[in-house]
Amino acid sequence: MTERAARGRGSVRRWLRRTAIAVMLLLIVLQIGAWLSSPRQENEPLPVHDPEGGYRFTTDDGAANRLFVCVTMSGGGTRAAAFSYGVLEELLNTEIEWPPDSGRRVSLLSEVDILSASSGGSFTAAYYGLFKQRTFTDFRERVLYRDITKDLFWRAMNPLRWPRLFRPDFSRSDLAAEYYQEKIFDGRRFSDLSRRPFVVINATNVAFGSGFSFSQSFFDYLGSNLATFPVGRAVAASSAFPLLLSPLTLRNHPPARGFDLPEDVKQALAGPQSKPRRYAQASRLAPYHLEKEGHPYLHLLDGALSDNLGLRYVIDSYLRGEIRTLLNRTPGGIDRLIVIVANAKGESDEDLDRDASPPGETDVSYKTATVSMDNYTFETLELMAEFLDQRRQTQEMLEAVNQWRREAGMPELSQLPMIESSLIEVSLEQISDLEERRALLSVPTTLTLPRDVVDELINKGRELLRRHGEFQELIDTLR
Amino acid sequence: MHTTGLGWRRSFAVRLGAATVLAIAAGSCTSPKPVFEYVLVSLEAGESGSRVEEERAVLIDTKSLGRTGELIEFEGGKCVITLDRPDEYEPAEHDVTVEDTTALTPLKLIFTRKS
Repeated sequence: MTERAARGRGSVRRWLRRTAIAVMLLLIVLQIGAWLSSPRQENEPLPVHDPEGGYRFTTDDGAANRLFVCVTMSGGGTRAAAFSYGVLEELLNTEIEWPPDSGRRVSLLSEVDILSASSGGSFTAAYYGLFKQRTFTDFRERVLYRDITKDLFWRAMNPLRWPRLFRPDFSRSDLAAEYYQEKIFDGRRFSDLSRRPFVVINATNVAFGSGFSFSQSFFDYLGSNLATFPVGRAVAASSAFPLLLSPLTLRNHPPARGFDLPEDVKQALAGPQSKPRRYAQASRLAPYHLEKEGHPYLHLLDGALSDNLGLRYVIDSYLRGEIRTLLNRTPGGIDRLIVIVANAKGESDEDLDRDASPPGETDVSYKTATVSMDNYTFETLELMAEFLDQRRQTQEMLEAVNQWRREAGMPELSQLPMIESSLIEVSLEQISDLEERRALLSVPTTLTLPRDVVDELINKGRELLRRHGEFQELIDTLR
Repeated sequence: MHTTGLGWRRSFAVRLGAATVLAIAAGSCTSPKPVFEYVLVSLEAGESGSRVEEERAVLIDTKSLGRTGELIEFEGGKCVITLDRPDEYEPAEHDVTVEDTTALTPLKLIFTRKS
């Protein structure tokens, strides 16, 4: 009995020893493999700054701007990608006469100037920006119906890929980025993206908690060239949801020759007293140029964390960017500004209230990551509406005052260029049928959905836009 | 009769206008502080101080944001306002902080043609 026990203990010890040796050998092999494997793909440096060059929105590209259309696509995994694709399809099938009374019939989609997206929506925006018309023949098969979650899982499980995952400079997001780049975006880079619409893929700068848009005007601060950057990496950064995927890292290179902070950024950095919004944005970007040693890297997470609607780029551009330049331009500026927001926000977890026991760790973690995001989303939309309203009111007020002055025989005051604007939000919450609404709102945020659900989301995106009251009014005036 | 009619219309228009401005002012008291500021840049001849008919692009922090003689709406704050080339007016720039303006009471800036 004692002898048998001793033999048993000996075999356990031997098994433990062998296992330990095997694990150590595996670790050594992985470590050697990691040293030998290729590093992650870095963003390339930009030797010379060109204020008009690279992938940036320019106002002097000869494009007609009288009708200026911005479409934004929210986060929400494949739910958002499919929903925003439905919105694109509807825009494609909406015919307008533009310029007015010209007899020229065009699709409203062909008039889109900016496509700005976060997270799941960035798949649709980037795909359309690269492949345009082809999107409507193969996007469903190549992206929406694809089981991306499973593909990513098996990629991570492939032992041949383990050495790279062992590298300190290679993360799960890098693995996802390579997959997207190879399987979805055919190895394309930003230089392959369309200029109109200008595609903006939005991510979140982890250090400052601020938005980061993949535009050369942001890459200028990093002394880096966006034109050679893989589109798949940008989409991976934009959709790197915390905990599921790791942050994606950009290198902050030495400044490009000839680059200096833009004049408005220098002025804004004078202090937050007069215009805190300008200051806040400037102070989160300027350190990447002014304090390179303190910020040799920039880590990016899901764009939905700082802007789930992809609307911030449009707001900033309206306040102080290219849209503002075009609004103030006479002649040749914007006559009509249209902002369409495809919001694929899912449901709030009202079911949590049904249980007497408090929510568990998973629910609390998820809520911690998304509560402020949801509130911020609401406020962002309100902000855009308020800005457009302010403009409308100012125009109307000046018109009324000038009417009065004309009748009183007084000289008129200077008027602003007259613009008409529309802000159209389409969201799953607008589905009128209660059961249908609940069903689609409860579609999980994942990169894999059944085909019938994808088709339903596409149809809803189309239908909700088509039936949207303000959209109908708009189209009536443009037909 | 004709003069009286016009006078009545003018006085009505003045009252209507005053009422409109008051209504707007009352409305603006309750709404949040507007985010936009307004600038009106004009050109003057050197000695006479008369207005120059020429129109020039106005640059705010080096960005072309409007033209002279037109109301320019922008975010405001500390900024440098210049005219596009050629350099025929002075001062070369207005280094200003644009705050608390409205479309009815913009910050008025003048560039004078060099003699």
